[in-house]
Amino acid sequence: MFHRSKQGAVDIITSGVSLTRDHVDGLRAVIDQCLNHGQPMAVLDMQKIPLFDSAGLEHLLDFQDEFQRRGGVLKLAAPTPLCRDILSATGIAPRFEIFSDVNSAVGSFLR
Amino acid sequence: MLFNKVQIEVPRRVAAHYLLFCLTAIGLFFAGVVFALQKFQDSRTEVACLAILRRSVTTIGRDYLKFGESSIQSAVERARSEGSLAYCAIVATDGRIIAHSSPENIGQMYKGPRGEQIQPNGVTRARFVDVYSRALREYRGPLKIGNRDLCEVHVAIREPGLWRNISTGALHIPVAMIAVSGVIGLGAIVLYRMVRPFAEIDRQLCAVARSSSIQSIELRPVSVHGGAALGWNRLVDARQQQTCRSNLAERVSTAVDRRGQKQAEDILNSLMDGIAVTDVEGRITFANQAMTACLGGVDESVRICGRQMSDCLGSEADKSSTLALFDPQLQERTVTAELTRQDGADQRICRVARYPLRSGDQKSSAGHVWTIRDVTQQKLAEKARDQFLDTATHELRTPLANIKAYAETLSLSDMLDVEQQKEFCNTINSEATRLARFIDDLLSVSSMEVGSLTMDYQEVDTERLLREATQKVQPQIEQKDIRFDTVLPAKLPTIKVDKDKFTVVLVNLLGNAAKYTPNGGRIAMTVRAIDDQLFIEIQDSGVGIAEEELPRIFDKFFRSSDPRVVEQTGTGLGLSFADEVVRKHRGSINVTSEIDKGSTFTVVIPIA
Repeated sequence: MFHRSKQGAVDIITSGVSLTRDHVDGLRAVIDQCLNHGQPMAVLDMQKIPLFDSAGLEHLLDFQDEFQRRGGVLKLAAPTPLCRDILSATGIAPRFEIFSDVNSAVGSFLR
Repeated sequence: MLFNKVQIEVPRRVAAHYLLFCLTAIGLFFAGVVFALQKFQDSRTEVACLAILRRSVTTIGRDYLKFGESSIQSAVERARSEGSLAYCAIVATDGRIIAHSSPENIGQMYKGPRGEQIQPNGVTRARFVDVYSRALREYRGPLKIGNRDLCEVHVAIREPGLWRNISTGALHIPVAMIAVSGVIGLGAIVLYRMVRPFAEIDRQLCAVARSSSIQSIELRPVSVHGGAALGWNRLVDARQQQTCRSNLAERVSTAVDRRGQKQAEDILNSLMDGIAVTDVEGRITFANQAMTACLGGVDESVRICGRQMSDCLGSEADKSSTLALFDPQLQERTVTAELTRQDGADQRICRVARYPLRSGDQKSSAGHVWTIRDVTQQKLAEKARDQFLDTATHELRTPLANIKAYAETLSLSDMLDVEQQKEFCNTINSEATRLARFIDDLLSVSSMEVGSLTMDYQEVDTERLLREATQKVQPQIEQKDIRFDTVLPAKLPTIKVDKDKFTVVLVNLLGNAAKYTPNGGRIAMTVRAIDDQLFIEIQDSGVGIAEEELPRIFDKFFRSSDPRVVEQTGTGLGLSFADEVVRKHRGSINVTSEIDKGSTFTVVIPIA
């Protein structure tokens, strides 16, 4: 459901399912792996995530807080137009760095 | 030591002292009274005795003159009874008792002491204890007829004694004692009440004297009985007001400090860089969240404050690259080091900097400020850049060198025949093609990395696309006598792809299969349409890929270390490009492989 890979020192999380109440546990498990070391750096590849629900958004914010508590950061890449609209309409977009593709997101960690 | 004894309240002490002195005074007074009484009784007794003596002398002398010597015995007895005397006697001038109130003594020689003269007329007084153990006082007066001493009259009375004197007033003593006691008691009560307010003041002052910290003692007002209590209450009130003001000032100051400290903590906790402060002994006194996560690890409950920084850095602290951080000679200057930490299966590189902490006008540091930043990604990028430069240099130089060499040979040598010249030209051509292909790949990958790789999606005939890709690789396959099987469904759906780039992907995959499959091997391309996805599987019977290298095969410039792969030409960009293009198509490439058995690459893309 959720898959974790590495690009350099950055974790790339990919998924093909919606980020909804039914699937957040799967994302939680992958996030926990990313948080398993100091100063975690991760990019959520949203290319294949069709939509969010409120539970998914809430968990996304929680994950971001957990990353920040450890001096790390979770960034978003390639959201679909619908997801981008959801993030914007809910006011959550400013809380995240959002990139058009994974490479740009990974490259931002070099700055 | 003063306060080790049991302290009695002031009023009770005062009352006790009052009673003590009063009773002492009364006792002394009482003794004086008894003494005075004793003296008074003594004097009165003497006067009485002398009077009795005079009367006796007169009476006996008269009776002697009137009735002769026989009348003196009755006179003596009469004198004794009237005067309540112990005895009365008449002693002749020769010392013989001629009359005595106790007749058995008549005729005996008088044996009493001499006595002392107390009056000029020859009256003497003697004190003695008789044979009956009675304390007697005897007065003696001469009885004269004319000028002739006829005899001496002796009258004796018992000494009054102290207890006898006391007993005479015994009936009146209780009344006196009661009256005196009552007055003293009343005085004690009045005095007690007067000094009682001072008891509370005394108690509080004693508590202050005993306490090591005056500030901790709470002083309380007392009930107002007089000016002293009123003054005390005013002092207590003033102290309370001062305490309230200082408490308020202290609370305000603490709140301001705490707020400032909280704000500073919030600021530091917002940073991604780890920040810590150590004291002069190297113990961590503050660490922000990032530092705690970096040093403390996963468990948020692990507190690193109080621990030595060298312990937190673990075994990395002992390495030569980090020794400078803990060198005592370098305490006063900034030191930077990089340390490598094993984080599970990954290696993380952190840049650690230590700065001397100076506060105010201190000349020497009061500790150190530490920063730590994960630079793993930067290091990997630098390594990739270096690798790219190495590879690019090699991949550019090698064909250029070949082209130059063959071109020089062609231009300089006159001994080459036509066949050799053709061969050299073919080599130059193929090297130029290789160079061009590398530059194309390089440009494509660069475009891909900077995000400028544009995609031109069109609906294409899948079967035709596959055929075109296969044709490009066919010569290579035939050259190595590799068996190539194709499995296609009866009807292939159209797909929406960037035709040119997707063709490059297929050519790369088929080309790799052909390159790394030995002569006489087998390549199979199987295409399936399942639900809304197209699966293109390219399987070969080639050299395979080692399991530990599988995760890296899509990395830019990565080439297997297998000698059979190294001996083949390659830039290491093909699979990286293919992976990126497929991702752009919202697809994926998966690979399975086994050494010496072959590899299977599966491209999955959505069907239009």
